[in-house]
Amino acid sequence: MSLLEIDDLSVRFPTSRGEVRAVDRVSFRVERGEMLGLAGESGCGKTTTALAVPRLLPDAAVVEARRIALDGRDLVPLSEHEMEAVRWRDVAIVFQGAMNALNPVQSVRDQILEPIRLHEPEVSGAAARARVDELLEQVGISIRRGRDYPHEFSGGMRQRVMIAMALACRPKLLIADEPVTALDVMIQAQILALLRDLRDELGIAMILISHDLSVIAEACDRTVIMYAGRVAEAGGSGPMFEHPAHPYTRALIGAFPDLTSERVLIDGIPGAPPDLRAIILGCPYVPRCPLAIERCRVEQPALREVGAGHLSACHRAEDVA
Amino acid sequence: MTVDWPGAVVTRPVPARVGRLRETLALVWQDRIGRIGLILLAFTAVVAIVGPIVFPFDPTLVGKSAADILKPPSAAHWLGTDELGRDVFRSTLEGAQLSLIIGLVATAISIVVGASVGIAAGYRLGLTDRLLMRITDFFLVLPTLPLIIVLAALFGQSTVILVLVIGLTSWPSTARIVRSQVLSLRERQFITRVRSLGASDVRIVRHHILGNVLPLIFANTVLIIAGSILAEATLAFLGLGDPVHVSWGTMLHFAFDSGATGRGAWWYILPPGIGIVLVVLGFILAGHTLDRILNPRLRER
Amino acid sequence: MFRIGYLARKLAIGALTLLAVATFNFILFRVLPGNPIQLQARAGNLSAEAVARLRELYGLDQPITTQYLIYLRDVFTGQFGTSITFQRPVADILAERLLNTLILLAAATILVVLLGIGLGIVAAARRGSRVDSATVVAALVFWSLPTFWTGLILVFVFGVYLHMLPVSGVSTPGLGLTSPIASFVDLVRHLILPTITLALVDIGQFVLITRSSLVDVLTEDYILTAKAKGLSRRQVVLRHGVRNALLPVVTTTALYVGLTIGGAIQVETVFSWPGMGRLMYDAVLRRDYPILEASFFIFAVVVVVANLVSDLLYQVLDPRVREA
Repeated sequence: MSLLEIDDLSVRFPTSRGEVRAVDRVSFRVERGEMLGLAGESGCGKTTTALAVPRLLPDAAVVEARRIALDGRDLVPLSEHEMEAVRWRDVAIVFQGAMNALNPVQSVRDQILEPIRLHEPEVSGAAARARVDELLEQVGISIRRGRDYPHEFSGGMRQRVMIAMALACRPKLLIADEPVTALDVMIQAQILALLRDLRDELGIAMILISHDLSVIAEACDRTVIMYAGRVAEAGGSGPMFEHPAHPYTRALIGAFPDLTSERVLIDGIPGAPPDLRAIILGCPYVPRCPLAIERCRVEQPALREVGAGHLSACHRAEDVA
Repeated sequence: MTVDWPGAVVTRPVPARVGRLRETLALVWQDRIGRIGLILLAFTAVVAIVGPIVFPFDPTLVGKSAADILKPPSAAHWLGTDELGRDVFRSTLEGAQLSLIIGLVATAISIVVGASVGIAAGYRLGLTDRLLMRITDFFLVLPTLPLIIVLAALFGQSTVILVLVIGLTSWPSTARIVRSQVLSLRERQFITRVRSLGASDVRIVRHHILGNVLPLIFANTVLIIAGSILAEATLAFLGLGDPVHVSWGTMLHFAFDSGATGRGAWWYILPPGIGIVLVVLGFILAGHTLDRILNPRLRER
Repeated sequence: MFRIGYLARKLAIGALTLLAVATFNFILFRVLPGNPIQLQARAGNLSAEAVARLRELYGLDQPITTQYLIYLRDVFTGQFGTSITFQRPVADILAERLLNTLILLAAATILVVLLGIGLGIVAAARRGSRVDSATVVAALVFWSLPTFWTGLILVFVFGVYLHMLPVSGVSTPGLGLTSPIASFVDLVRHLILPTITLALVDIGQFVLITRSSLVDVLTEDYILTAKAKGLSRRQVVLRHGVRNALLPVVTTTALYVGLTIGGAIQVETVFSWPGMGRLMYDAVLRRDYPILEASFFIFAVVVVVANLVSDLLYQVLDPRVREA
């Protein structure tokens, strides 16, 4: 049994100009202790998908899923009250832009303490504070800085604080949303290394969301590539990037000779993603796809297995490589 | 938008003021709260303009005997009589005019002074800016009503003085808003381009800055009108109004002074007060909506 | 808690502002009207002896700069001259009245802060709902009410018509020396209507400020973080939303004292509350310029102090600002 099983997740947003289908029948798994990459260009639905798990989408969002199971327990039928107990304790989030994600008028220590006091009230004050210190050390922040405020930290340090905070209740799953996007290359490498080390030490499963393919390629065991709210391709990172089974993935890789040497920002691909308000009949990638045939325009390709643990939503997956 | 020197760069045209005004009004009308405000304002305007013509007020038409003073509403006097036996309904209609005029003219003065200071400070920067801002901040510190009272007490009570006094105490807020807008405008590309072409400061201000600044202070202006009308009413109530002409504030002053409250003369106290509330509320509701329209805050995430 | 340097600088600026106010007063009352003695003579008849005394007191034979310095010395030593109406030192009269005004201001501030902030929080938390719209409209309506007129209405309804509450003065005449509890209750009864009147208009403003500030804060990213931690909606709003939204509200409260002076003058007039506001009203009627001068100065001092307190409070509450 996988740690996280998402079956048929859809998210719609009513807007003044029509309904946007941000996520359309997405399914995938995350195994225990695995670092899964969730990649795609801005607006493809990756963040929305991830935030749907702890039910953190805006009230206006309409979320439908057959099943979202965390460690065997289906989260869909849970009440809001029950959901509050799941948040942070079972699934924690490291938000992007730690600048505003941390409360500016609370000390860093108090913010890390908060979820501990909330979810584990039986832990004594001293024990909780000790855990905070331990967490700060684990992410490489001097304990003395616990009483400082967020604005007194640099961007990279703030991100470490966010990570420490996310680990406070020892969650089973950590969702890191664009954790290194706003940081410079050297700090980026440090943070990624930190995440990997923590995963190795603590055995936490992680979902790493990014629109920077180089980050995904470097850090993640498996990758899910999303396009226009759907899963385009999913599989082990190494094999997938060497032998892509979806034209979109191929385009991404083809554009850059060496995935691991420089930033591969997916927004840099020519063309534009489709308007998600429209109901798309066939495959959403058709307008930009060099392999598109008539069938692609009318029949939405199902996500099917094209290799061991390698899935692709393309009628012509075999012709891609 | 005129292009009148050779090789001039055509900047973004500033839309005609009238067109923008109509557009904005339409937007205010669409909002429920704004609509109520506009209706109130229209109603008051009509009453103030038409009322005194249809029901003229003669201040010399006083009551003949003690029995005529402070009489409750009757067929002869729809809203009763005041402490001199005069018709309250007619004096209320008459008072509308002065209350509104003073409020509007005082606001005009305030906006002109405030905008000038703001533009001068924001455009010239340097010493001018610092000096003007110090003065502005100083005036912000002075407590408003005491200041108005003192000025009115010292310099007399004619309508002109009143208008000046009220206008000269409300300009700082406008000045600050204008200044910050000018500061940001200044850095924008089209201004630097036009300046490098040698356009004079006056031309730049007139053609490019004013058009972009005025819409912003629109919402602020509406609120200042509301404040000015309240200021006049308060001053008049405290005895500093124009003794010759009738305004809602002076009516309430005489009502209070003559003990109308103690005698239960509600017909004398309510009409002028309700008049003030309706007008001020009209401006405040419209201003509230305007503020939401002109300064959209992206909260609908 | 803050650097001494910062505190000293703020105090210095405050002192300079007061100096500017005193100068402003000087120009207004001594320089502009030409002959200040004439002002006093206008209001009441002065004997030749009084005129001579005043001339000496104000130093009118001497150059303007000396007059200015004399003025400053007088103001900052509390010598505000003699009241024309009462024929007593203005400073004494001010001292008596100031306490009454402060009591009124304190009562009103408490009411405004509690109700205004409370309703503002409710409205923001339920943004877009009927409760929210109704609260906003009600707040706007209250904001439009002229304070003095509201007072008149309340006097009328509760004093004249219903005979429920006293509408004038600070105590019931003829009550004599009863127990302290009885006098306290009497004071409170006299305080009710003026306080409500004074608070009503400003409650509207506070509701709007609180609501707007909280709505802004609730769109910040750290609110989502708080929710992600598993806090209930109520906990999120109170612990993270309100705590941060209250920053501008608290500083506004400190400024409120300055803003509410105008209201206090009106309320004291309508309810014959013997405070500084009523004093100013009476002084206007009788053109008692020494009192007007002094009251204006005192009110300005109150505003400057309130601004200073507001600044310092902000320093204490918002760690981001502390470095400055």
